[in-house]
Amino acid sequence: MLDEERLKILTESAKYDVSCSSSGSDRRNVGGTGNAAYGGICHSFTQDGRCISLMKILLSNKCVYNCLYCVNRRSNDVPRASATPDEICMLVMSFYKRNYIEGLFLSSAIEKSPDHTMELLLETVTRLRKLYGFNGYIHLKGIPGADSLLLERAANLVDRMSFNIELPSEKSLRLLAPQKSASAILTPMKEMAESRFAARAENNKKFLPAGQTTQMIVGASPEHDGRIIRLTEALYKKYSLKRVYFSSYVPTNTTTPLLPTTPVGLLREHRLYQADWLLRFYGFSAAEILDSDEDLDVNFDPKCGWALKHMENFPVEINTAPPEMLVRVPGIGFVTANKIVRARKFSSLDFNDLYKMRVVMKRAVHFITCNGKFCGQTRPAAVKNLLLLADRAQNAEQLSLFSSPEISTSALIGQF
Amino acid sequence: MLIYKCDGTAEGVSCCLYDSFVNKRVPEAVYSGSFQPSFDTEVVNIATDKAIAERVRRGIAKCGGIWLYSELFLPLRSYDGLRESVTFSVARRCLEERRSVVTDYTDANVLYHRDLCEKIRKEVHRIHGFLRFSECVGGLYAHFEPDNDIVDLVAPHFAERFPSEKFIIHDTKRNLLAVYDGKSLKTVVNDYPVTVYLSTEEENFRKLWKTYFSSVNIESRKNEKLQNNYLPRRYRKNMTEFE
Ligand code: SF4
Repeated sequence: MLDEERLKILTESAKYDVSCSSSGSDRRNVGGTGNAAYGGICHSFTQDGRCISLMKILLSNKCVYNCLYCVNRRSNDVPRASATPDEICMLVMSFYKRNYIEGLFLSSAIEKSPDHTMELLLETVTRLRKLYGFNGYIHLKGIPGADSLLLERAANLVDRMSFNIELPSEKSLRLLAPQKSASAILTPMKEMAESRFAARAENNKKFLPAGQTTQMIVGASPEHDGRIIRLTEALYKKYSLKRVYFSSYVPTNTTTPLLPTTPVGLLREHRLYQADWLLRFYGFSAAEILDSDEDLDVNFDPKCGWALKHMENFPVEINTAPPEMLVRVPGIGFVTANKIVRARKFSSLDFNDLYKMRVVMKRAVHFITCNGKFCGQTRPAAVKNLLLLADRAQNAEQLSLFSSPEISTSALIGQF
Repeated sequence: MLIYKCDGTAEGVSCCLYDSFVNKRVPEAVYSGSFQPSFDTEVVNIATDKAIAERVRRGIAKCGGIWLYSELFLPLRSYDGLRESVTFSVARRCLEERRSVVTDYTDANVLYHRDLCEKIRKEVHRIHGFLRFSECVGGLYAHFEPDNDIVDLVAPHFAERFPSEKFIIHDTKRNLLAVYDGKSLKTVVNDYPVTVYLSTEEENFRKLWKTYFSSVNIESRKNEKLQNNYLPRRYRKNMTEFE
């Protein structure tokens, strides 16, 4: 049985990984223990406001690599530990049964070699599925550079895999993670995407039902937001990733001059997630959001920023505009757009109706008409000023509400 | 001012609807519990009659299927004082217009109805995550104190997830138990104290879970406001990691 001491070490070394989501898989119970809910379930929230869904743990934090931004790097003096596959399995089963967790997020430092590490990870998930009859959610970290046969076998057992892209450019990767290469990360990501595609064509739903995700650290290297957003878009398009996570750089006892000494602000992470939302759900392209050498505006969310730059598209008529245009209006999100579309089938809507439906009128009013009536400002400079004022009060609140992407996600699309 | 008093169940409210159509009168409000009467209040007690309720149920199903029926009466599980009145008025409109009006958000009652439904659904979802089982002699046991009356909405998720376990989910606020015996689920009223005997391993796993919970937190990013938003304090007293 895993003791408290090692549990602590292996959890603390895993906690900077941001993806903890348990969504995207609707695994039915077919004997054994467990199933998976498509929308994911949060089981608890830690003091930092992050959701606990999966038990996030490393099989080992004894690393032969030396990625400068990582707590587990070889040169860092931290307590080291490892667990056996069986110890992990037993802990998962007992936590799951008590409804502490939704499943397992298993990762590992590179112990000895990528193949050796991947073999242990594979053994753990194989045991968990086959021996312990666990049918809940598993997210497995893929080890770049491991034999592709091992990776394929794992992909047939788990719900989701992720190869972390780590940093937004190859140059930064070379500088900060000298033993990793972009191709070692992207190649398996590509192979997995192709295999999944082929499996789907043969109606095999067991191959990574919840797809792949990745994560990159923001604020450890100098790339602009525009570049990050473009890379994100490319990852969605090329490798059909389900999700790109941004992890704000948190200094972990480093002395190297290559890394900043202060953590990146939450606001930047927040804005990046908002931009990511626009890519995934609102039909925006990276190029529409900003140029590659630009950073996201701290004063306005990216949707608002776009609207201000494209006043020629507005105002839109609430009673006739198509849903995809409604959601582009600042102050109208998915839930409200949905309400509008449903309600206008009954009768035509006026400003008062919108207000009751919780459209954020202070923001929306400059971009909409109701039965031809317009109540906002048209001069971009005036609109900008009013929005700044409207947002100032709200911003602090909104920021705290949105900084956990998983939940803001569900809040925005109206599923819990 | 006309007020209907009923037992607050779907059947009770259905009988109010029936009375309203038959006697061609529309109440100002519908209550099951106590309320503040004014000098011109006229209270009509509506008795629950299963046969009448069934006719109303079929009438509603004609307006939008059986889905509409369960959606319309969902707010009755809420603790909100206006639950019966809102349910009544939205259901009355459906029957009158012979169609579903639950998405006509220009109607303030419909919006209120929707908000109550969302709150209930949200709580069910939250509880799916926040419920904590203890391993006891004879099966799993969990207690909770939901805002809304939802123990029977919460339990099926766990029956599906742990089909071969036996478990009891205990709403200690309403003295209701959802009991799963490994085959089927039932809800029972229980007015007696419940005693459970923890398995020998239980304490150890609770300790490990607490260790996990505190280790996964990032101290430098402390944000209790956010934590409170997602996990309101009232739920914590039934959760292992906050003991
Ligand atoms: S490979 Fe790099 S990022 Fe991964 S645990 Fe080792 S040092 Fe950390």
